[in-house]
Amino acid sequence: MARTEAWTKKTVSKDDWEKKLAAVKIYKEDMNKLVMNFLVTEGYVDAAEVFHKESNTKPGVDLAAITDRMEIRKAVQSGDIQQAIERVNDLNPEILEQQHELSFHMQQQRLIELIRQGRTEEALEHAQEYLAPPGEEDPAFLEELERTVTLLAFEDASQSPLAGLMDVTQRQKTASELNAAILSSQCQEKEPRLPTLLKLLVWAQNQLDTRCTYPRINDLAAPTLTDPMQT
Amino acid sequence: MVAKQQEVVDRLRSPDCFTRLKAVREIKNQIIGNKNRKLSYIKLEAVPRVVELLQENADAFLLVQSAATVGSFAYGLEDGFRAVVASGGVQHLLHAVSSQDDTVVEAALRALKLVWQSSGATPPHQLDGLNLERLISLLSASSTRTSEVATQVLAQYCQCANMEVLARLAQEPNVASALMQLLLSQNGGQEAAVTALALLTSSSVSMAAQCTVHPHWQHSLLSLLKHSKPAGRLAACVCLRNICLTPDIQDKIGATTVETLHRAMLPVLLKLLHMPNVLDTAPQVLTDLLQQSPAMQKAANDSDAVSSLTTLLHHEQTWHNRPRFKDGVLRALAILCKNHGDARMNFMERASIGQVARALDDADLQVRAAACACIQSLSGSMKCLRHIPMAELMPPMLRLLLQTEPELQHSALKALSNLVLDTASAKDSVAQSAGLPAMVQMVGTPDDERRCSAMWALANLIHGASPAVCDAVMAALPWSQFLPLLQDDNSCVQDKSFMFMRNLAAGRSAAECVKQWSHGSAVPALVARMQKVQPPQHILVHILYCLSNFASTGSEEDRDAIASVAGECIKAHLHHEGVEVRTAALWVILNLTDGADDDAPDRAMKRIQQFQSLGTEERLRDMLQDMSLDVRERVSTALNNFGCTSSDTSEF
Repeated sequence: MARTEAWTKKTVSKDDWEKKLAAVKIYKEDMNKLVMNFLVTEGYVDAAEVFHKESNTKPGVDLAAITDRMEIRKAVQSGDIQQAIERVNDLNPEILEQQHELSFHMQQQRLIELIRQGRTEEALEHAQEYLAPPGEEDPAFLEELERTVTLLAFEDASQSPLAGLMDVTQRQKTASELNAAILSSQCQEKEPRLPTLLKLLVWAQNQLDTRCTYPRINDLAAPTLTDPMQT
Repeated sequence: MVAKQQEVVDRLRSPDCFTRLKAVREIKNQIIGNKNRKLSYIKLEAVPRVVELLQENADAFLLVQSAATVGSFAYGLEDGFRAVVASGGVQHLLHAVSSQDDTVVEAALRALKLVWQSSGATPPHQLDGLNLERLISLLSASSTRTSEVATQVLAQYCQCANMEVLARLAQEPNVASALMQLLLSQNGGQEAAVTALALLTSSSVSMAAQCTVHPHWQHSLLSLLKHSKPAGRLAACVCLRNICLTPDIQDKIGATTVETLHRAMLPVLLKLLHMPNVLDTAPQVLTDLLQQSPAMQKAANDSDAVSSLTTLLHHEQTWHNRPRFKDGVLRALAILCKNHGDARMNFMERASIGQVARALDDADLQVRAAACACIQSLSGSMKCLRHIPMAELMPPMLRLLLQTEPELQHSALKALSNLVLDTASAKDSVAQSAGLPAMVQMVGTPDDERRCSAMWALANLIHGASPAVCDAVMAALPWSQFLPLLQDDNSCVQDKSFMFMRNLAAGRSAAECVKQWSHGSAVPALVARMQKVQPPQHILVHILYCLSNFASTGSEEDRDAIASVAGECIKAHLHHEGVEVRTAALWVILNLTDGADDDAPDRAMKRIQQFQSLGTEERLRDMLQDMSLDVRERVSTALNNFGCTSSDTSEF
């Protein structure tokens, strides 16, 4: 099979490849926009401001709004859900009002934090007030509520089969869900465009691998072209 | 818990502003997204107290929090909505929109949006005067957030306003220009702007025309056809449709550009119909597009639109409880199949006729009418007619014919008219049911179009029909009721009445049956019509063929009678400029002079002599040079009947 592939696959040398790449025109403005999009979506406000000054690329969004969003995200990541809820309601009360699943997950995270702090009575009260009513209306919510409340049955919830709920990744999941909702409410894309382009690059290389041997980029972080003659 | 909440409500009336601010913020954060908490606070009469805070000349922070809380109370809960309206919350929010502080304005706008989202069909408060002026001015606010929310509020208001309110709103100055400008924005205002425009241009032709004043209207709306949300794409299609329907649009931008816009919309609409949760009115936009031009119908057929639409019909979940959606899909199919044979066959091949047959019994009137229109289109071709399962279709069609709604009845009549043309089983179904008397009754309606359709249906019914069907029709439609139709003021009714006679006369024992039916008056009536005022050519042709058929199927007495009363007239029509008339006249002569019946060659000879005395033979000889081959052949046969030998006839 290797011999067959060697006979049918075309090989493109590094020189030829570089010549082809050089012929492709990429505009600096487009690259600047990609960078700004990444900074803005990921919430790097200071970097976005400096980049705006240096490259004259417009952020396209209100940078003050990014600060708010980052503060909210930090609050969730640090477990201060009440603070996050208050801030997002100040930013845009429609978000939690209209997105029931997100609202439930925020209250669920609040419950997890109360359990983490050992405030059992408050946790039960919170579950009863904020999670039981939506659980009555939606079986999916009820199932999640039951899983979360089960944490109370364990002396050390972090060692239980449901330890995942106690892990910081659960906070991260909630934070990402809230971040995406805020971005959506501001009519921004939920993800920066750069990862999509990189995924496209990886996919294109995988497709090309079946047809020819060429200088691949194996490390996206250090994107040097490998020489196909050496592989 | 209730005590704690009561304590918070009590703090709303604290003399200290900061205490009030803290209390209202607490309530806000507890009730957002939580119906139970809203209900608890409503029972504690928190709503009027929060609304009171809006009335104060309070500081911006308090107004912002109060507005957000009022909006939240109203959202998603009928009790909350009613409590807000009853406390005057809407008026105070509208007042807050005029604040000098942008944060207060934005908060009040968001709250209004939530209120109107909860109001269902009726906005709790009509926007007019200064309030409306203020909202429209905010569409162009310097703050993009304010402008965006103002646009969303306007769009929400439009979605729950009726056509009258929309039409008034459309007349407000600057609305069109402000909304068109917002189409270029890249934020939430863009989708709201196109949504509002779609509703406003649907209610007002002048609004649609105003949109074309904006310099980049085409580019803006065409770009929105690629909007990330289906609702945005549909709204853009609606705007474009409305603009293309304005009276002088072709003069303004040219027919080619209109077609370009239509072609851009077509694939977007076809895809949108398959999106979950697309608006029920989406198929109607497609229907309107197809109705506007045959070029679009062809383009749609080339894009396999019939397959796309019939797929929707086959999946009940797409139209269940959505009569407007189903109605639109059926109408689009009706248009596509009307003049396009490939579309009809494609439809039949996809075995969709059963879906349409079931739709004929739908609870919704418009769906039934649309299904009827579909059947009418499908049955418009003989090829397709043969594949239509009559047993499945006739019962619901006849039920529709008997319904009281006039438009639906008329639609059913037109469809049945096609169905009965060539199918014996369909004819039998009508003749043996209450459908026949219903058709006859419609012949007497004062409406010209319905009368014509009814007569046409009866003419088709009688065409090639069995004696039993003919008898049933003649029994249902007495001569006394039929005769006036031959002189109807409406030319279409006249034409179809004569067509009816001609078809009736083509039956095997027609002459005798018609003589009995008309008490011997049929031939004199036909001849009188022929002689009176020169009838239109097509009617003349009908009359002559009637006479020809009577002559063919009648007795010798019948033939003598025809020759006697009509001979001169028939001979005169040998000179007619229309070849069809000349041919028809020749057929009458042939059937009157054919001496092949050995029982009465003398009587045939007598009729020949009658024609000869009128100079008919000389005319026939002249006609040997006629342009029409058909005429020349008939003439040759006629001259043979006259006893002329082949040497007397010229070669042709």
